[in-house]
Amino acid sequence: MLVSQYLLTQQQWYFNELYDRYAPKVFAKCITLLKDEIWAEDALQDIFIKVVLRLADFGERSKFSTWLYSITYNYCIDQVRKRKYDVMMPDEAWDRLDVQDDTTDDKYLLETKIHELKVVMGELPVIDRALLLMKYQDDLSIRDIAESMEKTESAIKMQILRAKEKFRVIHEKLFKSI
Amino acid sequence: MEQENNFKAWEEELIRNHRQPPEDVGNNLRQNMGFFRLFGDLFELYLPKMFKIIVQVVGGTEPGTRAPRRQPPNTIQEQQ
Repeated sequence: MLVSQYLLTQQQWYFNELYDRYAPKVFAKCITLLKDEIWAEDALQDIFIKVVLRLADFGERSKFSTWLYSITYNYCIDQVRKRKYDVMMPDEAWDRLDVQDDTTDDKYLLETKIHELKVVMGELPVIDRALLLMKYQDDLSIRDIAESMEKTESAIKMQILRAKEKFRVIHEKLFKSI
Repeated sequence: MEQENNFKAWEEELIRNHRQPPEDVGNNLRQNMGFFRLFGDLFELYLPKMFKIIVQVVGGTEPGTRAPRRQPPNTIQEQQ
C-alpha cells in the first residue's frame, strides 16, 4: 500500500502517487463545499499539508480514502464557518418540520438531475451538503460518518434525515412549482 | 440494474472539468514537504546537542561523565 510504503521509506515518489491519485477527488469535494475555485485550491494545499503532518497517526483502521475525505469535509466545514460564509436558513421554519420518519426516498435525491442537484446543494448549509456527499457520493456508512464528524450514530441519522428533507423542500420550491 | 446516482455523476463531471488541480498547488506542496523534511532533519541532528548544552549551562553533567562519588575520610576501605 502506498501509505505504508511512504511511511516506511519517506520517498517523495510515493507521496506524489498519493497526491496524483486523490487530489482530483479532494479538489472536486472542496469546490462543492466551498463553492469557489480559488478558495478550493488553497484548501486542497492545506488539506494535503494536514495529511502529511498526520499521516503517522493514520492507523489503517479505516480506508485511506475515508480518512482523507474526513479531513477534507471537516476542514471545509471549519473554513466556511470561520469565514461566516455559510447559507443561513431560517431555523424556526425547519424546526417546525416534523422529521421523525424517512419520508424522502433516497431515489428522489439520487435521480435529481445534475444541474438541479448543483443548485439545491448550493442552497443547503455546508454541514448538510457534507453529510449528503458522504452518504450518496462516498457511500460511507452511518458509523464512518459518525466517526469522522465525532458525533453519535443516532445524531448523524437524524441530521441526514433533516438534510434530505431540506433538500426535498428546496428542490420542490425551485423546480417543481414551475 | 444499477441504480442511477447523480451525486456520483456530478463528481465525475467535476473531475472531468478540472482534470487535474492546478500544477502550482502540487509544486507548492512539494516545496513545503521539502521544507518540513529539512526542518525535521535539522531538528533530529541538533536537538540532542542542544539538550546537552542546556544541561551543561544549567550546571548538570552528562550522564556517564559524573565524577566518582567521594567517600567521607573515615570510611573503612575494603581490603583488596
